[in-house]
Amino acid sequence: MLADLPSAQAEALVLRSVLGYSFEELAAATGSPVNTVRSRIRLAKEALRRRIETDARFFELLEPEAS
Amino acid sequence: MSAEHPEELLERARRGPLSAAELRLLRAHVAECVACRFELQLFEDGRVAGTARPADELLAARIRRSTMRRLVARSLPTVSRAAARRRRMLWLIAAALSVAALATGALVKRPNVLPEPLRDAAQPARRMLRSAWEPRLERSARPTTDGETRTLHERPEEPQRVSQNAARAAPAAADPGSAAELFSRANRARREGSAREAIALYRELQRSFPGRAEERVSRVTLGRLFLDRTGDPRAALAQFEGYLGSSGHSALRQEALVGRALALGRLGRGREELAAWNALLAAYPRTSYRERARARIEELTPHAPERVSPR
Repeated sequence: MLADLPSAQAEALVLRSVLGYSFEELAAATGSPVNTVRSRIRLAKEALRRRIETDARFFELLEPEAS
Repeated sequence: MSAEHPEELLERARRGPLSAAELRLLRAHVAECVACRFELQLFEDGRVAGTARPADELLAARIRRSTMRRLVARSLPTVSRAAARRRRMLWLIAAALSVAALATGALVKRPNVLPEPLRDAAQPARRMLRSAWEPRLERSARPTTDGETRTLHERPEEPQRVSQNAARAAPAAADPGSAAELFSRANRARREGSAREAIALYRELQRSFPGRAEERVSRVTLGRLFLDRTGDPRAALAQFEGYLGSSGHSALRQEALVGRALALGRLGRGREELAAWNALLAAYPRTSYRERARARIEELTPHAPERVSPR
């Protein structure tokens, strides 16, 4: 699902969600203003929301492995 | 659906306890917002992967899947808006259940896969596991006495009563010199901007607990710290390669491959950087870093000089 996001948005979301980066850390890491980073996260989430809410396979996408 | 997400609350929920009022606010938002649920699930997966061993991850995934299947099957025949909302809530509950299962009962059945600090304190299981896990899995979900499932790190309204056994187990979990505690302190220092302190703590963790899950994960976080904060790509490269060379833990392999490529780029080692980006794309063709990888590959690939046609 993350692979469908623009890379800057996906990277920001992964660094924030998986490695626990704050907005300030993300800004320092990417050399972007904090507001830009905030905007990337917001846009990433909106894209994810649209994708998830319109995808009937939502659960399977989150649990891809077969038992 | 509001486009506003409670980012500050989400950030604080990842770092530590929320008050009951804050938790209610966050829970209300998360119940309606699939994107924030997805983000929290990413964080939870990362946390579980960083704390548990591979067998734990597989076990947790199986629990999540079977729980999901039951809940989804129960909710699928309904198509109303309320039912759809209920399905979304069920997903959240299932995610919480999986973490609860990981943190309590499921591991009790397989004490040999417990992380080492818990292995020593595995009996009697449920109470002691709860007390031992809470400092690590700060957001671990657990069923409450009122039947509600707490899915986010909730600060109890009143001090929690702890049994004598649990109290005896607690010092091992709260040991300030433990791998989990060092990792937590290092992360806190990093988030607060104290790069030097964070580096010292990550280094201490790596010296004192080689091979532990926290130590391996710290190689990626410290690598990024060197790369992003202190501008030391040589030290960063050593961290990423240390992670990639270690056995047993691969949850952050993609991040480590990216970090290695970035570090090589900053060191001006073009040929190795090219190989590193190619290795990333070979291992993760749909990586979210693929645009950056392709761009760098294009820049770094030597092109044959254009033939000049004779006049």
